Amino acid sequence: MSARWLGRLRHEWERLWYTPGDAANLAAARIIIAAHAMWVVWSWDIAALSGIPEGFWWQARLSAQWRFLSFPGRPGVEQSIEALALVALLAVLLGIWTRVAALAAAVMLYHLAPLQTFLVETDPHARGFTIAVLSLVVLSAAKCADVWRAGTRTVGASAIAPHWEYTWPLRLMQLFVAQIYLFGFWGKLYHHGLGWFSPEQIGRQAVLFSHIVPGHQLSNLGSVIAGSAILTTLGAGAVFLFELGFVTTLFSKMARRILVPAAVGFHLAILLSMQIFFVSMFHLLLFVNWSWIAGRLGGLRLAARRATPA
Amino acid sequence: MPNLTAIADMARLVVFLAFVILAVRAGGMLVRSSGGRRRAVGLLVAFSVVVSMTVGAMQHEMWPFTHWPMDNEYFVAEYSGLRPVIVDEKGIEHDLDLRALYPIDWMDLHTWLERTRRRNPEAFARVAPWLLDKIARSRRGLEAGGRLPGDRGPFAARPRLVLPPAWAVDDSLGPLDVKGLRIYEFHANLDEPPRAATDQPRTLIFEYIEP
Repeated sequence: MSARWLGRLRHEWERLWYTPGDAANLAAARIIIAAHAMWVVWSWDIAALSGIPEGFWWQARLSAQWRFLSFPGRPGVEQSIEALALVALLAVLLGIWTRVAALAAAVMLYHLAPLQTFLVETDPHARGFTIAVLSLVVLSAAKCADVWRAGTRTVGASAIAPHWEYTWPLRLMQLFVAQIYLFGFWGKLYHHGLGWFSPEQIGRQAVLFSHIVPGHQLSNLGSVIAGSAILTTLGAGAVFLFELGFVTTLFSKMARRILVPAAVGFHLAILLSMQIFFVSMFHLLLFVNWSWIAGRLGGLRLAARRATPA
Repeated sequence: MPNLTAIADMARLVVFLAFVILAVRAGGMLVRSSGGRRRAVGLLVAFSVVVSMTVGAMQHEMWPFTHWPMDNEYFVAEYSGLRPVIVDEKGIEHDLDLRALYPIDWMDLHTWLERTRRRNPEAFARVAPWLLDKIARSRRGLEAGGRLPGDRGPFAARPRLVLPPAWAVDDSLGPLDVKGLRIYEFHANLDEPPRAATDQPRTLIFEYIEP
């Protein structure tokens, strides 16, 4: 019995990671990860945080500083590292020296990201680089630039046969994104029990910002939610089911079609009610079937060319 | 007595290095087209799954493997938070546009101030002159050029907490000579409708006035 179950488990494991996949989907993941990380590096002056007075650093443990090689008073050095990280990410985006560039970018972002939160903690999970660092390390071991790369003649995505080499890296990156919601669910349950998923708690979360900064709301969605027993009850149920269920997107196309758009709605609702912008929401693009989209667009172009009179 | 926190920090570094080494090993086998590639990939996948799931299940930080604790806080009805205000040369208090603190994120400074208040209150006096100078320069920059520091345009990634502007070039504050910074603790009831900031009970916890 147990041998049968073990065999079944092994089969499902192999199916999850090694079912032949499309080169285009992995190449798209490479481009998404690099473009997003470049956008975040460009948007925020992380290096400047190294230049704030040392008095701010009293909570930063010396061992944590050594863990990330992050020390106060070196904004110039950090600016250079930021510039190098941008160059490495551009190389990943273009598919030039991809694996070496991905590893270099991962290590530099691993060093830079904790500067964002060193005032108070060493875990910059929600600041835009968590998925990037993990994914760049994975990409450094993957055949992620077989299509859609600069400097070579374009190889049609459909010309490359599906292969297990294109599946496991993408699936790992999708797992890292799914864990955002799975661990969000588990963390609430682990620390606060089912009480977190009560209508009362949803109402408090929804109006928190309007108490913190009164009169400066993006919308009154938070107050509308908190003022309605139906909406807070639905919200509590939706958060429970969505956060618990998102991990099924790894196994099911149907789940991807429902839960990925639902995740976008979830983040927009949080933005409009709690005014929290989750910069990693763009990593949901990793769940899009880019190979299918490219195929459709290619087919449309071909049809248009055939329809055009000579 | 060994420093367990330092040991834990080094253990976290070792886990990340192991992740990198497994990736380099698997990547290297692509180049050498070695038969062990599938096994090396299997090891990298298994390591990633086991470590990331363990970190999540145990709810321990091991960044970049993380348990994503961002929105797990549980709120009771009574809520206390911190609110900064600036003081002009006449001693009048004004709202602070929290974007003026850039590159420091207000939510981080909020947590820092709460911990500093409890464990190291003298630290505020050491950083307050710098903070005040930063705020004053930001205000002057806005008055002169219409932009706050760190404003990289509409396409830049927003900070974690999206803050609508409290200041504008043509606001009623006019040229503002920022002379002081006060941090208040305010109290609110999350089960009641929000009150205006001026109606919330508050206590002064930090103050710095330029000499």
